[in-house]
Amino acid sequence: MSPVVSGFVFVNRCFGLIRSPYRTMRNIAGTSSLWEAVWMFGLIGCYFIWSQTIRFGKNFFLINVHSAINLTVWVLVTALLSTIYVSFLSERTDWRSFGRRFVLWVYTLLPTLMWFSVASMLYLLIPPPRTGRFLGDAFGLLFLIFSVTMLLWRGMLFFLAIRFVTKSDFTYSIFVTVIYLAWIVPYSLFLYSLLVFRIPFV
Amino acid sequence: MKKTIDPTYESLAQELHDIYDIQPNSLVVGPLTRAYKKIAPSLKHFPFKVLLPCAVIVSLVGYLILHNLFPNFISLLQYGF
Repeated sequence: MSPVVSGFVFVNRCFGLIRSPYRTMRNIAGTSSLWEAVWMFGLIGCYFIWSQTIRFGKNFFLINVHSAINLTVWVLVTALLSTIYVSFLSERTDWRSFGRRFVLWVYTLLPTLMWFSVASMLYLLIPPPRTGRFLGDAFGLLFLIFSVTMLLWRGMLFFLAIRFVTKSDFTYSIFVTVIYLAWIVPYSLFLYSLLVFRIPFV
Repeated sequence: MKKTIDPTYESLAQELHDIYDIQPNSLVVGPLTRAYKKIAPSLKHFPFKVLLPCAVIVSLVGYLILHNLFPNFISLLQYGF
């Protein structure tokens, strides 16, 4: 698949993950191209350049780009490690389809990317700290509803990715999720201690 | 001689592959499995019609529990990007 065609496929599948995530994840597990992962990491890289510019100002553009590349590589390494980890837990490990499994895992980053993008824009438009007045509470409630929705959607895509990577039933998928969390939580704390991420981009 | 592909056969073969590619979901306990099979179809197409109300309930409960700490929690969340 050429990069341009995979770009159109990538956009179509992103909308598909909103409309019908189960059918879309099944399609991705069946046929996908590594170029789709490149598009996703390109978007993630653009987000990190944007967020670093918000935090440190546009006068440090080159440093911001350097930081953004570092952060994108961290996300890439995390996604690779996650795919390898879950593939090992699969009852039917087929390493020839590792690329498709990796792309499937990368697509689950879409809710994460959306949350971080919206949070960064709200940081510009309505900067914290929040107050205990009516408008502060109202905005806080709306933001929390949005955050929980993204978290639930992420959880759903995460479960579907595990189900299609391990090709197992619900009970085994929950078991794999628990084993995965036993690794990803300390890893996220490790990234926090290194001042890489405040909220883990996983 | 050109081999013709029957599109109906192709779609049925794909459907069969989709059904048997992964194991059917089972929650071990019968009532739980039945409850899961009732809830799952509503999440397959535009799941936000279920996720959004759940998020509203969770957020309201969180607001009631945190109350005085709620603005601090939201500020922390906003700084988190």
